[in-house]
Amino acid sequence: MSNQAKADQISRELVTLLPKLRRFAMTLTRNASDADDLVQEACERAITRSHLWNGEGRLESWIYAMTRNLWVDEVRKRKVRTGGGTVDASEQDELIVEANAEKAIYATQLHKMILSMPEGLSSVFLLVNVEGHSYKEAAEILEIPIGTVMSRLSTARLKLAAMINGTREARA
Amino acid sequence: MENFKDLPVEVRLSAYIDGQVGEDDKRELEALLATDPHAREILDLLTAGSDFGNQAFAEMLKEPVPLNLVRAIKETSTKPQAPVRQAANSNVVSFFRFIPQAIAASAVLLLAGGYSGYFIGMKNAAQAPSEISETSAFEAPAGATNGAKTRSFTFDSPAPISLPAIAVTSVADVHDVYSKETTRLAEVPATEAASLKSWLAASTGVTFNIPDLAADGLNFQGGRLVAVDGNPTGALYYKDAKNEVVAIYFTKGTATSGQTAQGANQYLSGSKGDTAWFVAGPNGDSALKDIASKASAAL
Repeated sequence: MSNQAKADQISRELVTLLPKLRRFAMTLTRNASDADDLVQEACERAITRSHLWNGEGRLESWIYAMTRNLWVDEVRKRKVRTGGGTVDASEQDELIVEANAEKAIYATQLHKMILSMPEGLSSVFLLVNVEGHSYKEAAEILEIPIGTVMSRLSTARLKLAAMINGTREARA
Repeated sequence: MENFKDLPVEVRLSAYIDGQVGEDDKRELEALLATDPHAREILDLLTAGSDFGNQAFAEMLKEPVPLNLVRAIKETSTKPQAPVRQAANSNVVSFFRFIPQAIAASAVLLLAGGYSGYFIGMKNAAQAPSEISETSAFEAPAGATNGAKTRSFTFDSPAPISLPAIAVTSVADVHDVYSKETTRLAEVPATEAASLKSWLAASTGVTFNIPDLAADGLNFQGGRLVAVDGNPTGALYYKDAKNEVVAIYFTKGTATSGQTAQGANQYLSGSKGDTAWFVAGPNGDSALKDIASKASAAL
């Protein structure tokens, strides 16, 4: 198969995966605008590097890892530009509600709650609990130890459980 | 990873939910759950959080994908892909910059080639039949294959594309939401049918025509892009004289042929090529089969 044919094939599959890719990107960026930019960049990179995809495993795992790496680079660049920093999810006890999240297109109560979780927690929860990736796969995608996957997953579940009352109050 | 037993109880119970614990640990945790109300409370919280999170993330898939994102990806793939190795820079300065490296590389290759030729020649001389055994090692044909391993080249086989199997229940979940819309049933109205058609074709990858169902008493209202199990799906909406909604859904995938009743609606489904299609309408609508055949023909 030629590189062009492989790129076309990956492109078609990416279009069908877009909702899932955007959702994963949202767990990293926590705002829709950055998520769409990130997905676009990851997809473009995947297409131009389609010759590196060996067809084994899930395509989305390959793209997820690429997306995560791009986001880490972006965060690093922003850190340099602004002099600010981010706190690792495992070190962060309190929920963060970003100002952008309030303005996001996904402005439902549920979405805001998800977006308010520290990035590391929601990504792990999405990969393992929602999409059924194994602990090992999630660890490889996010480049973190399996022990961290386990602890973040349990923290995410408990934080989500704590949000249930908030949702009920919002509905009432 | 540290010893499983040393992990906090909520982490171990979380792994227990996922079935990621060994037999011994599982027995130990079950014994703990049988005797410790606090552990049971934690397990209940973990399970509740897990269910709640699933629901919240499922909601996120229902958001329409921006058309410009779909376009950008399609445009990237239509650009000719650059070869893996870029052509050398034609800039004269950069050419001269690489001369020392080129000379060094040539010398290395020359030495390596000379040594290989000598080595192969010696080997061939030893293995060759007697009539050529006197041939000088340096005259031995470089391409001689006596005793040499041959290298085979294979071309990439196409990676299999697995089409998703679309369940009627997933379509029904989507239809339940949108068919109840009274003023915003369609995101793109029937008056912009051409725009709707190109949007949905680009987003779903399915080429289709919008069926004219006026003969069946249905007026086309317009359509929208929806997500069914995360798959971009085209939705076309019609209304009958009683204001009942009939919809056609299509996406890349497969669907079991048949008719299913769910809630107040019935669903006809099938596949055509690599496209799954569904027709949804109120229970008891006998015209749906005719509509389904027209929908299938439009794909």
